[in-house]
This record gives sequence, structure tokens and C-alpha cells, in this order.
Amino acid sequence: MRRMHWKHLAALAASWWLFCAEAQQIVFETVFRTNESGGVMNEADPGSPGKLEKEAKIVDAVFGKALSLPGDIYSRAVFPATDKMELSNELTIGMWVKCDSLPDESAPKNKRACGFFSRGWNWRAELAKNRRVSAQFTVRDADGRDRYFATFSELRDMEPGIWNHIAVTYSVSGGKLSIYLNGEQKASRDSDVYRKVKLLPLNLRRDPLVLGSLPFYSPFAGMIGRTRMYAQALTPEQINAQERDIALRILKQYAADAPELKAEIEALLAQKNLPLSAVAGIQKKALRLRENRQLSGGSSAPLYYGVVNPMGPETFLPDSLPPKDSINWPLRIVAAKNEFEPASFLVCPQRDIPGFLPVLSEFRTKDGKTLPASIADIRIVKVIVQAGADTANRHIRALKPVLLLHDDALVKVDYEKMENYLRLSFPDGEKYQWISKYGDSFRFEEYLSAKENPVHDAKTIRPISLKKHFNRQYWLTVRPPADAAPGLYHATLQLNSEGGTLAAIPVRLRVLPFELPVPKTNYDLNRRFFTGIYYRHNWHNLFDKNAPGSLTSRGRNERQFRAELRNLRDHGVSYPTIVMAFNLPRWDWNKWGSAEEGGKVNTVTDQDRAYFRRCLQILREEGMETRPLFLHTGGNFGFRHLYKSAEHRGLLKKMIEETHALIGHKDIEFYGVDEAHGPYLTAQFEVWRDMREMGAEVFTTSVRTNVQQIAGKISTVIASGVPDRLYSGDMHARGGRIWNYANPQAGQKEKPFPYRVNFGFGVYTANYDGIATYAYNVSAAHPWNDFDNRVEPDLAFVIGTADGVVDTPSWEGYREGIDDIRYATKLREEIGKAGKSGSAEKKRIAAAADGWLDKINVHTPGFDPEWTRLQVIEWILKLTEGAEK
Amino acid sequence: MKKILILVFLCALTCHAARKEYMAEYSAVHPVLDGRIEGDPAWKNVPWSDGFEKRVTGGKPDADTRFKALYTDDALYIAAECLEPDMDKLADEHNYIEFWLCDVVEVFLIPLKDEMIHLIYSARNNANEEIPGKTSVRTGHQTGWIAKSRMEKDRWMAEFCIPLYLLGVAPQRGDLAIPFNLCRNSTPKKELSSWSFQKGSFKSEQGFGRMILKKVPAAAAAKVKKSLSRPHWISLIQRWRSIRGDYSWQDVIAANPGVAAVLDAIERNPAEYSVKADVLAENLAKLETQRGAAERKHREAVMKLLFED
Repeated sequence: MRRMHWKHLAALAASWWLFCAEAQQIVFETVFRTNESGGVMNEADPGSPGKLEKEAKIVDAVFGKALSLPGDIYSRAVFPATDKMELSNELTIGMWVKCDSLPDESAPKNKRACGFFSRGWNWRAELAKNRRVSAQFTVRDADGRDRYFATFSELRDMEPGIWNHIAVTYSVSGGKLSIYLNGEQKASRDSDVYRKVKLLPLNLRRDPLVLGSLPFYSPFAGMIGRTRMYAQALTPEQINAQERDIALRILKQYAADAPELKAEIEALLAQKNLPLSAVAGIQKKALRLRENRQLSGGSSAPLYYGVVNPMGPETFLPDSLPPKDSINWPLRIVAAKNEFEPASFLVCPQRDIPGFLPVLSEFRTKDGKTLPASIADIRIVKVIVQAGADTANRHIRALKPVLLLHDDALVKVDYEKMENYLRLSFPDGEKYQWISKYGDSFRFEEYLSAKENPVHDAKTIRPISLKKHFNRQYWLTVRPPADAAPGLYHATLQLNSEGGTLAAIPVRLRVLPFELPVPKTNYDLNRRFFTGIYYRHNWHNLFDKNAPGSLTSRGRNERQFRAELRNLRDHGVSYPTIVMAFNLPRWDWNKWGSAEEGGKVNTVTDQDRAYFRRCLQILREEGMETRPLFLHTGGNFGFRHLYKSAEHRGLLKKMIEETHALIGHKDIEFYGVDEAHGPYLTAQFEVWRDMREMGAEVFTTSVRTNVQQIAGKISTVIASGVPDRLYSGDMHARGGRIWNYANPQAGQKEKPFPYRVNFGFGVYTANYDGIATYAYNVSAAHPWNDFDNRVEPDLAFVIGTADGVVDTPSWEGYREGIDDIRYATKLREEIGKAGKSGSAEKKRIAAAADGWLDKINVHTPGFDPEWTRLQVIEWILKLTEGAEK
Repeated sequence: MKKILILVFLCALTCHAARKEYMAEYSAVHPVLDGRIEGDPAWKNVPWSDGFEKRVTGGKPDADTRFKALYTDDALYIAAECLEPDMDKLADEHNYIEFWLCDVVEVFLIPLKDEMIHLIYSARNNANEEIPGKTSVRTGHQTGWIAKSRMEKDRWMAEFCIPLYLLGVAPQRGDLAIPFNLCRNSTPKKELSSWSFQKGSFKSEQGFGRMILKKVPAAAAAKVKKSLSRPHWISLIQRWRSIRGDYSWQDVIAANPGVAAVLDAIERNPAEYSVKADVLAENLAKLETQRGAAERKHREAVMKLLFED
């Protein structure tokens, strides 16, 4: 009887396989059926069964059989390569994957990913700690060089605990390597990672097909379901069609398990062309409902909230839930006097709630000291649709929390179509503008009249309508005034709706008994740490009181300029590069970069000079530092790398003197050629030597590996990438300064964490002298449309409005990084004072604090800048004991 | 048919004969890791390998290399001698991440399936490595190894200490053949060479020779077995130094002064590292188990200081 049954099933499976194989050429398929000798069947080639290694086993899943992998690096299923699988030009690998846990966080950084598919070392798919899925192929070209084709999905794309279908397609003729998650394209690439080499035919090898862990990564724990390899690069429609049978079985199972979703599931089941993404969505919803029930404790309250870390690596989307131990906790904030300090909470509505508004009470200490509620600003973290971060993935649309808004309605999001609409507030009414059009633009500073694009955020938080199970993150920024009495203040943040108060968040604010000092370097408390940023501004409307201004940096009016400078100042920036588009003495080559074409002295008019002086005046009025002045002068006064001392020395001197006279002092750093390398770098050395002999200092960018060459030749190098004491040592030994940029550039608007760590303790502990990443406010075409820049996200921390800017979490991260340096500076100051005091105990604490500060290492796995800052505060309080807490 | 079979057999025989082998004997004496090979009693009777071949083209390199190897009860040691007529032209090592631009020797070992361990060391004492995740997980990320190089007038030397714990294998039951190669980059000569000829990438397994560890003597078998079961002293000392220098551990250390004293005493005396590896491991474990609790306590204290009236 068993034998009959086995044969019957085999015949059915074979028929089904033939049907599918005819539609698309399947060259490998396993449904984890075993043959009589225990081999795992390859349905496309029954004579080549695979085998299970170590603890890998076959288990029952919703849709049939699946491979279960316990998280052991050696456990896997291995299938021998067959002739059919030797595909060099085009293929699809598709599989159902359910991962139980993400890779090991304690592992070294390069091991925080786990592989789940491979053929040899050169074809592989991985899942990273940050839930990105990647596909990687290394191909040897005709010259014997390895070409590396890799593509990565966005952060958080892969949801653990549910069945996801992952497909990777590779097509030489189509020129694309793509990743599809649940039938939707999530990433693609058309060339080598390092060079613009197009996709090449894969080298044919007889490597077995492995489902399970990969040698250089963490082990995979979870299940793998039906896996297929096709001889074509399937389209998304084909992937959806091919895998719909399993999707339906998953959906039917959920219909029985999740009664709350029954109606939604039935509607989906009635659809003819059920998309895989909808099935993933249902699983995710069911998972969230279950987690939500646990977090809310089964309460019938209309909402609950969780306190979340605004600066942490985790970002929050409408379906994100707060950490378990943060539910209904108080908001705890510690701030120095006059310091901006963020806090955040996630509101989780259990039903629709109209007119929702968080309202903060007055702050009060136990002994009756008060601070007004107005010291805090509440904004909502707006999740909008953005393009993929990688150049190859600009066509991908993903949700990201990128805007800090008072008025949620400033941008409307269509979550079905994945499109954004921007509100324009005209005198005669509001209008929403579609801002999701793809573009092929790389135009900088396109003028967008603020009159024709009246984009205004509200000045204070506005009420919104909460939707059931659509969670919203709020962002609180507190700034105790400079004269605030130190102490512990209590307040209440009421979560109100039209019907009254739904919940109240206790707020505890510790105001520290000091103000933060201006930042100084780690290695010398007498040397300023320069907090800079690349700042684009074209002020040609500066004298026009009626100028409408622009949403971009081209044509901002005085009101906008001042608003930006205040925003820069409030974010700790004192030395923005001044200013990236203006008319000053320089040499203009007739043709870009060609010495043979000759050149001419740029004509600087009296009006140009007046603009510049006005600009400097406004900078000073708004609190910017102008000595030294970091001035953009078009690459060594325009001489770039074409300077010849014998020919140009006199002219150069004249230009330097004219600029000194214009500014009124000589404490100026002039910009060299941006990011020069090779002969373009070395050709500048002559002009730098002459400039410095004439009393003009130079600053410019460089890759960090060129720092040794540059040291001693210029005053300040802005070095890219990860800071290292090796490079700061080189510059300091030759009397120079080193700043940091591109670590990363601005643009990852939803991520405060890397900006805080890298431009905070990261640069400080590497003994750098400053920061100036690119940039504050760059946009290609429309700054509110993320899809019209074909190359990269707009490299901006803020987005322009008609009357100022809208902040992003990344910009707040930059400020917190600067504040970390100011706290460390404060500690260094107190260490110095204690060292000179007569108290042996203070001296002992100072020595311990000094040793501790020296050992901060941002590269330690799990480095937590918030906890590090709290410890800095603890040391400061110990050293200043006796002062009021 | 018969002729073909004979041809195949001969071919296989030829190929096998072409594979290089180096026999590494057990040594009860540990080499002193200082880049000095001459005068070190541990290396005295250990034979040199034959010379290297230029990558791709073959033939004797202009800057030739040879090596010695032995193993002890806890590590495999390799000493490389890199002849260099132009010692004054060795590459600067400003950005050692790009080690392939520097004067380096590269050790490749595949002690276990899917575990190609790639260790790189330069003339100017910079290290780099490619350790497989499988190895990292197997060892609990305790993958420490060390090396030391020394420059002379016309050559530079590099000595490697590669723990058996990192390799995960030892010749306990008989001789053990580990796929192996030693490769060299000479920047003055712009020359890549290797002990076992490589017609392509240094990483190509097909081009590897074999490092054969002779069976461990019975008297040392227990020690060797032990070395496979706990991290090598290199990893343990590195771990203790990182703990010692980390403020967040100070409460744990303060609460366990006896444990810290033992670890400090060992740390101060490099001659004891090897013989007291077990003591290192036991005492580190005691601290590790208490650390989580101490950090929680510290966080609670800071929160209390800041957020309680």
C-alpha cells in the first residue's frame, strides 16, 4: 500500500513538474521529497539527488515539505551540479525562505550576515543583520580578472518569522542582476561593483548547489521551501505566476489561523492574479497582530506607546512595534543648559483615533522650580516613499522615515501606489503637487520659486487622525534655557484626542549644572574642533527685499538664508564652507581644464563685493564663525592644477591681496582642487607652495590614503572615509589639521546613527580637527522629489521650504555627534581642573576618567554612543561633585 | 581503451608527483617569535623548504624565498626568509588595508573543509587576514594568531605562530596533510611568487601543496588534544588586554581582585603564556560570566543618579 501511494505521488509530482517545466524551463527543482534511499530529489533530474548534511532535516511546512536548518554552519542540503544547471548567460534562482533569527551580533562586523544559497564561492545569496538580502556573483573576464556583481536590497526588506519568496535573476542579454522579494523587484545592478563593466557570462563550473550556510558568514537558522532554478531570467509576472500555488496554500492556512484577517484573506483569495507580496503582507500583519496583543497586554485601551531611541540604528515604520521593555515607560532626557536633546516615542493605536495630539505640560522640580512647555518642540517622524539608496536601485520604491514635521499633512503619501504629494499653500487655497515623478536629472541648484512653490510646515505640532494598527513615531526636542536651574524636572505628555486624554507619558528631564563648551580636539584642549559642513548658497537675491526665494539653494532670499544659518547654528555648525557659489577674484580658463586655451581674470564687480560683504555680515549676525574663514575659490583661485609659478605668480598674489582686502583680515583658508588625485593632486603642490608663501592657507578634500603626500603642503585636509590616528598623526606632525567627510555623505536622511557615531566619537577619538561632510542642502532638480535624481539621493541633511528648512533624523544625528564631542571636551576640561586641584580624590577620579576617555572605541561591536555619553556625564558629575545635580 | 587508462593513470601519477610537500615535525621547544631564525634552538635542525617559483610564468624569482615549519603542542610555526636585493626599495605601508601593494608573505591553509585560512604579514610588521565565517563561528570568534618580521641587509624574515585551535585539527592519529601554500609579493622586483606553483590566483586550491604534520609523539598527545579544545593563549591574552583596558569592565575587575591579579601576573610574563593557557581561560570565563550583571548594575546606577529625585 505504501509503495502504491509513493508511486502515485511521484506520478503526480512528475506531471506537475512537466507542466511547469514547459511553461518556463526549470533546470533544478526540489520540493524536499526524498527517494527510497533518503536522497533529496532534484525533480528536474531525478538521477542526481542531493543529500542532507549534519543537522539539516526535512520537516512539514504549510505548503508541503521544507528544509529545516538549525543555525549550524555545517548543516545544509547539497545537490550535485547537473548539465542542465550549467547556465552561463541567463538564469533565475527562486526559493521560499523563512529565517528564524538574524545573524549573530557578537560576531566581527564582516561576519554579521548569513548565506542561504550558494554555488561555489562565486554565486551566493545572503541575509544581513540589517535584514538586507544580497545576491553576489564573481565572474572572471577574458583577461583573467575577477569581476564582482553584487546587489543589495534596502534595509529591513526581509521579515524574519514569515515565508518570503526570494528570487535572483541574472541576464547578460538583459544586462541586469536583480533581486525579487515576494515577486517585487527590490534591487538590481547592471555592472561590476567597482568599474563600469557590464554583466559577463558566468564561468561554467561544476560546483554543487548548496542550500544553507556559507563558509565566510554566520550560520543560517530557519527553513527553506521549494527551490527552483530556471534557464531564463524571469519577469516579476512570471515569478508571481510560478509561485502562486504555494502563496495560495500559505494564505489558506492563515485564513484559518488569523480570524481578524479573514475578510482580507478571502478578498485576496478571490483575486485571479494573487501577488506574492500580498501574501507576505498578510503573514506580516498576522505576526504583528500577535506581537501587538502581547505588547498591549490584551488591554482594551485605544492605544499604547513605547519609548524608542531616536538616535539608534533601528528605524520605525508604520508596522514597526516598540521594544517590549519600552512599553508605557517614561521619557527620560538629560540635557545641559542650552543644549538641544532629542527623545522619541511610538504611538500604537488599537482603533481609529481622530484629532490625536500630544500636549506637553510645564516642567516642574520637586522643590517648585519650573520650565515652560515651550522649551520642547514636538514633531512627527513622517514616513514617505523614497528611492533606493544605491545608484543601481534608484527605481526601487521603499518607505523611509525621513521628515521631521509639525504638520503631518505637508506631505500626503499614497501607500498603495507608493507616491508622495506635497502641499502648496497659496493665498487662495491649498493644492497638492505630485512629487514622485522619475527623472533623469543631475542638475544642481535649479531655481524653484518659493512663490510658485509655497511649501510651509507649521510652527508647532498639529493634530492628526490615527489609523488602527498604523503606528506613528513622534520626536521631542528639548532645549533647557541657558539660565535654567539644574535639577530633575517632571512633566506629562498627554496623548489627547477629540474625546479627551487617552494616555499620559511621564517625562523626566535632568538639566545638568553646566553649559556645553565649544568643541575642542581630543589631543589638545587648546585647539578648536571645527564643526563644518559643505553649504551651498547662491545669494543673488540677497539685496532684494521682495525676492520670492527658492526651495533650492539657488536664489534663496535673505529670510531663507538667515533661517538656514540659524538652523546650522542650532545644529552645532559654526564653520560652514563659505560659500559655494559666488563671484570672487579668480582666474577663469576659457575651456575647463585646458591650459592651452589660456584664460582670463574673472571680472568682480562692486556689486559682487557688496554681496559678499553682506553675506559675511549676515553670517556673523547669525552666529557663524568667520575667522578663520573657509572660503571656496574655485580650486586654488581657479588655477587648479594648471598653475605655472613663472607665469602666474604675480596674478596669484594680486588675487590673494584683493581677497584679503575684501574680507578685512588674512585668516582665510582658500579651497584647493576638490578630491584631486594622481597628477592632478601633485600638480597643485606648486600653487600651494606659492599661496602659503604669500600668506594664504589652503584647505581641500582628499581620499585619506593621500594624506601622507599632502601633509605639510596645506593647512587643512578634509579626508574621506573612516578616520584613523595614522592620518591625523601625519597632518599634525607637519603642522596641519585634518577634518573628515564622506563618512558618509549626507543623504541617508532616515539614519541618525551613523552620522552621530562617525562625526562624533568616531572623529574625536581619531584625533581629527573637524568635520565637513557634503552637504547641508544639495538637491538635483526638485528637493522634495527623491526620484528625479538618477544617480543618488540628494546629498542633503535638510529640505528647503519657502521660509526655512525641514529637518531629517540624519541631521539630528549630526548634531548629536557634535554634542558628544562637546561633552567629551567638557570632561577633558574638568579632568584638567581636577588635576590642578588640591584634592587627591579628585586627581584620582581625573586620572581614571582620562584613561577611560582614551579607551573609547567606536569600532567595538555594539558601540552605544548614548551610553558612552551618559558615562561622560557621570564622570563630569563626579569631578564637579558639590555642584547641584 | 587500455592505452587511455594507462595514460590517465600516468597523468594522475605525474600530477600527484608534482604536488609539493613539506614535512613539519613536532617540537617540544617553542620558537621565540622575534623574526630571528638563526640562533633559535627550536629552528636549529629544521630543514629549509626549496625555493619559490614566479606566479604564472614559473621559474626562479629574482627575489627568492624559502621557509621552515614545525608544530608544538599548541601551534604551527612557519618561518619565512625573503631574499631582497633592494631592501631600501620596500614599499611604504601607509594604507595596509591594501596589503597586496606591500611586501608581504601570505600563508594559505585549508585545515578543514570550506575553511581556507589566509594570513598575511608584511616586512614592516603589519598583519591582515581572511578568516572564514565557518572558522570564526567554530572558534567562537577566538581566531587570534601572531607573527613577527625583521629586516636584514639583503633579506627580511617573518615568523608566524598559527594556533592549532584556529586550525581545528592536529596529527593525533597519524600524519596530517593540510592543503597549504606560502606566497610572496616583492614590490622592488614587482614580482609575485609562491612555494607551490600558482598559474593564477594565489587562492587557487589546485595550486596548493601540502603541509604535512608528522604524527604527534605520544608524550605530547594530551597537550595537543587540550589545545584543540580551548582558545589559544594569543586569543586569551588579547581578550584580557581588551578587558583590562575597557572601563566598563572595571567594576567586574574590582569585584574580582584575585582573578585580575592572576591574569595580570600571567600577562606580565610572556614566557608563561603557553604553559598557563588553561589558567587564563578559566579566569577569563569567571569574569565574562559576571560582566553582563555588572554592566546592568552600572546602567541602573547612572539612571538612578540622573532620573531619581
